[in-house]
Amino acid sequence: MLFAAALGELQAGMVGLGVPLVGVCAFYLTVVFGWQATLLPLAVTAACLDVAWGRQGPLSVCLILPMVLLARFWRNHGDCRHGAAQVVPGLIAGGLLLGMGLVVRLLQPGAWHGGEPMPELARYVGMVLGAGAGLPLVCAGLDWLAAGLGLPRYADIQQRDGLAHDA
Amino acid sequence: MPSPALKRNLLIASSLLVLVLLLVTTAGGGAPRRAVSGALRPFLSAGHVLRSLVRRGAGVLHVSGDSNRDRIRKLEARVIDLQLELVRAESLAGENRELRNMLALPQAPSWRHIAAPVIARDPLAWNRRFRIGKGQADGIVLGAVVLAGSSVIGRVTELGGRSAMVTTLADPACRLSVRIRGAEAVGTLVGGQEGTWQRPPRCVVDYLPRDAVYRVGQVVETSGLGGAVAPGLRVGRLESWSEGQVVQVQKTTYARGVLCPDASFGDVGLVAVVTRWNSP
Repeated sequence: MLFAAALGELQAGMVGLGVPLVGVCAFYLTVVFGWQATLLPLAVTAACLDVAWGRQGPLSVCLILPMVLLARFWRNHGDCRHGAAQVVPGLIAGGLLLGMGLVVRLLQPGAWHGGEPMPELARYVGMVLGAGAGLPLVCAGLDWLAAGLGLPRYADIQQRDGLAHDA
Repeated sequence: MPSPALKRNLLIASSLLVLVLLLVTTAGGGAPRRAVSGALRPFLSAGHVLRSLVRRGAGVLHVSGDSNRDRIRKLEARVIDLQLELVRAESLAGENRELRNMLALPQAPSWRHIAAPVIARDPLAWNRRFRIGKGQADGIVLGAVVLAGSSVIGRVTELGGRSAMVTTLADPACRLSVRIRGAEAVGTLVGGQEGTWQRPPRCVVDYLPRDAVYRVGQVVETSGLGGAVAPGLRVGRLESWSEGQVVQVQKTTYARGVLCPDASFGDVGLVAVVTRWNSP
């Protein structure tokens, strides 16, 4: 699934769409399975993504760490049951990637030379909105798959936690 | 439930591996980086093939039976034109050979163009870098010039077995020896150093002789100095540095100009890498 997310992100990048699919999947997997089980495969996938894009720094790997923290926070204090609420962490994921990308760019000489404003602005806005719309869709799709495979579902995870606490 | 000790060990092992991954990805051009990009190449190329098929499919849907016949007729006419052009080019090449023999000039070094698809492009570095689906095994060498259409768009800066990274003229890391046609002045092009974010990329041409005569619109081409880059490849045109000034004299010793690249950075699907025939 992570491999498919990485390929999807690469192919979306080819048409100028910077949707952080791996970051979004990192969020889902960390909420459902916990960080111990997911951190390593996520870091490997993110590193592959950075290498494929020829990035100067490990931007995707750096995105994984705040996403894991955000996922832990969301599992304990957020709302995993309603699909619409997942737009919030999605937008945060997009904002994080955009913020880190801009920081990396600012560190380079001639950071703002040679851009074409409208396509560039559209790419940045698309990145944040795409992640916002992407997370609820990823949650719905993977929950459907998980239900078929008998795996724990994202939407039920807080209920399970509650049951565990009650027990 | 895992024990606290097991959890702690897992945390330490995970952190170490993440650190190693960070080092691997930041080590530009290293062997692990090349291995990872080589392993990913078939999947990236598959995406390129898929996009081509979708485009071709869309084209077929648009073309009905009658327009197909028209297209074939037009293509046949084009083939005849190209055959005539080939005959003309062959006759010119023969004439050129004879003239060179007469003047006892050395044969011009031969260069070849290797067509390569763009297989990955980072939206966060859209104008600055992209990965192509050809590498060392296809005859591409480090530092080779890359053309989009007939103009230079960048240079190969990272080389894998079957893929390579191209740094474009919009990136300050891209440097190239260039000649200004008409002024016969040679300088060093530094990518993406000038201009504003509202305009397409501009480059600086540094270390130009201060006494040469420069005009806005003069063609800038590769100089071929050093022998690693083919000479005479078009890069762009000189623009004015400031109001009424084509170049700016630096420290009273050399001149600096601004170049507008001819290559379009927006939609690059296929590029040509220029290498020597005898390159490995």
